Amino acid sequence: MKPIFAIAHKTLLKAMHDKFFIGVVVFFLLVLPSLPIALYGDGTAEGHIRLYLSYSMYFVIFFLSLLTIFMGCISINEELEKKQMFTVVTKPVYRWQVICGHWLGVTLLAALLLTVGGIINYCGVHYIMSKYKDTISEEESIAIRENLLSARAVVEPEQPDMQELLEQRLKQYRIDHPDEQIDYEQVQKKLQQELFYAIYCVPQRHEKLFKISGLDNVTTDTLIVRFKYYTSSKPADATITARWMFGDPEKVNPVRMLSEKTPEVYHTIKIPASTIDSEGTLLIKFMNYDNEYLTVIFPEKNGFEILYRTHSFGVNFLKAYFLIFCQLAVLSALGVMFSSFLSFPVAVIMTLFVFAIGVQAESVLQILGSVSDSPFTLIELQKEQPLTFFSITQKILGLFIRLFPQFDKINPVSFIADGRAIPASLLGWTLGILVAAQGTGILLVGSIIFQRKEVAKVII
Amino acid sequence: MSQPDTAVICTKNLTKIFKDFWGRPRVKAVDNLSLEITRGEVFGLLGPNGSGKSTTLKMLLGLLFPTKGKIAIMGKPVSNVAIKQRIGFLPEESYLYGYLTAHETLAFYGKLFDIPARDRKKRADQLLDMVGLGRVGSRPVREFSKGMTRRLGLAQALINDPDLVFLDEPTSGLDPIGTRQIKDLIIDLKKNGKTVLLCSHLLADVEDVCDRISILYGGKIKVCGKVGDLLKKHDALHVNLPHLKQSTIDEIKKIITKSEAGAEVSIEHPTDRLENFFLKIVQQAVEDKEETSGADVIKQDSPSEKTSDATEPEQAQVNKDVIKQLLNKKDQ
Repeated sequence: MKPIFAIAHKTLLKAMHDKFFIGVVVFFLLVLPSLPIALYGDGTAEGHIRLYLSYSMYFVIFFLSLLTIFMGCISINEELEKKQMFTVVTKPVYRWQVICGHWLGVTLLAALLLTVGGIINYCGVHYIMSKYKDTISEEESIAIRENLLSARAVVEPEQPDMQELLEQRLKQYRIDHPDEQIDYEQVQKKLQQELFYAIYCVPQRHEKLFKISGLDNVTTDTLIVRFKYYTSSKPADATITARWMFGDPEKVNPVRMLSEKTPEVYHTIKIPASTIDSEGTLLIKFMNYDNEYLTVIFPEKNGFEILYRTHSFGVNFLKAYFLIFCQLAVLSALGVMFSSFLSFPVAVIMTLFVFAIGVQAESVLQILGSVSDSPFTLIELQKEQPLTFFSITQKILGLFIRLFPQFDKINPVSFIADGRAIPASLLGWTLGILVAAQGTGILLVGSIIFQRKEVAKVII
Repeated sequence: MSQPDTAVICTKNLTKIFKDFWGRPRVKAVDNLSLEITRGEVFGLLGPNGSGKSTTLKMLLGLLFPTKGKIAIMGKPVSNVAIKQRIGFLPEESYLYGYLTAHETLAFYGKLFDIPARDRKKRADQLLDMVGLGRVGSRPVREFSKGMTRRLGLAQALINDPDLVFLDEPTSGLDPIGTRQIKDLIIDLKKNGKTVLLCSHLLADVEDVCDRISILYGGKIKVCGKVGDLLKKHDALHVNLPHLKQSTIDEIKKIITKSEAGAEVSIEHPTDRLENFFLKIVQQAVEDKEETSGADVIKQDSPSEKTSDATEPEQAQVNKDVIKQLLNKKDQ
């Protein structure tokens, strides 16, 4: 292990003597503390903090990602070009140790800057809070602490399996129409609409039940119901009147209330935790009680959720920075791996390419048709479409991109800016899949390539 | 591959072909080179530029992979990392890290050998004193002159007390004192049973220290053997005599031309070597206590005796001693 630490230490010393690196770090340390002053938000304390948290964290992520890519890509490459590697690989050092030493050095450097960035970022939040201390009410202050400077777990209601339902309906349709030549596309469209209407739409004077399970570990006194809905047409008074009932009346003492909320905007309702039954289930009944003949439509995703505080903002903030650190560690591995066999500019381009795909992995997969938000893909499979060159290429590209580190999955900004707790499962996935599997895999590939590399190679 | 027990380096039909971007063979840098270097030997690899000596050295160190043929270092393949524990290497241009100080440089290489911290520090101090950089150990390498960098390069090559030392142009960039010190060091390494492979085109250096040499041309060995045997002129004699009167000289000439008809005889005063002359001039400067910011002239045989804390008069005395010692060695 000593050679790895020796190389890592040397990498750190190199950075500390590099004028470009020092200049970049000075820029980072000047810009980050100025963000709480430079950003205003919507004029409210909550808006200011939310905007600051989003922008400052994105700044830290992208700035340090680029710096890590740069440092990783220059690490081995520069030593090969300056032939300093001659004096290293002729010592009793395995090539994988050279790769790991450089990776460790760059990662430690990134961790050091990330720690400084995190401290500045955290202090920035407290600076903004202290700035508004005398101008905001106690209620606003509590609201900020509950909605933003908090770590709230999110539970969504159980959703029916649309794929399964559609399949059942299709089977039934075939049974009901045995002699008919079926136009799958038309049938799919029709059944899809019917299902959607039955599940997500609430016509006037109708009601919809939401069943939320897994709330048995709630320790707080209150829960937040966060929802958004749309309407079939714009309401004349701009609001929808609805009746709510929280809690199963057969098991708990339910809470009933009337609401008049505008569509297309997120709203929150605070309810007591006593509405959860002994099995950890919360039943919520929504009734469209509006006077206009409008249908209320809940979106398929992110339309309805229950939030409750699990731990402090500080712990969540640490988790967020841990996720950023994991991303930097993988980027460092990528940079070092590419720098072991490519020239500096090519290594930077390649790492940036993987990074760009990684931060947009889901979108890219959607474009390639490998992932779909809609469950209604059954028909396409049933039609047994012939494989074409285009479809094969699409599938291969989709598989290939799945091998890329999917950085979009570990973006912590949305969690922090919404006061949502970063789930342990995400931390586990990041550590297990992204860092342990993909990061180690990248270093392994780099080691194998470097092992086979002629350090003093000359191409004529 | 079979080789005698004493063979430290053994190559068989070693060939290296450099290829172009498209993988087409372009240059045969080393061609079927078979070599055997035994323990305790100072072996010189000579040849003009492009003769394949550096390529051979790089293959022996695992920096290049042979296209054909086999290499065994101490009976093991080059890819064996463990044998590198016993190897020291000074590349042709040192290739050190400019941002590290001399002390940090040696500490770094010492760590690569997994030398314990205490021994590493002691060894680094000794080596820096030995190569005359004891006073500048805390200066970054980028501030060093080429000669000083070379000296530090040599120190890093010896950090692990190697059994086999590869020296590529060890005296390039060094002043005559440094050159002399390196040559004496090579001789000392040999005395201590170390094997040295020297790659150089400074023929005088090679001649002074090597037991055997091999001259390469076009990647092939043109000649290989003991230096004395290869350089011996069998058709001439050299006689050392004290100062003689002119009449005695004329008498000697007459006797020789009488007994060896047609023999060409020339009798002249011997000239001093430029190296000795230079050392005398430097000795004078040291005695005059003239200041220098360069490397010290250090007593090489006992590095531990010199410490970085030596006062200037002490240092001047050490310098004088070293030059006298070097001059004495030459006279012997």
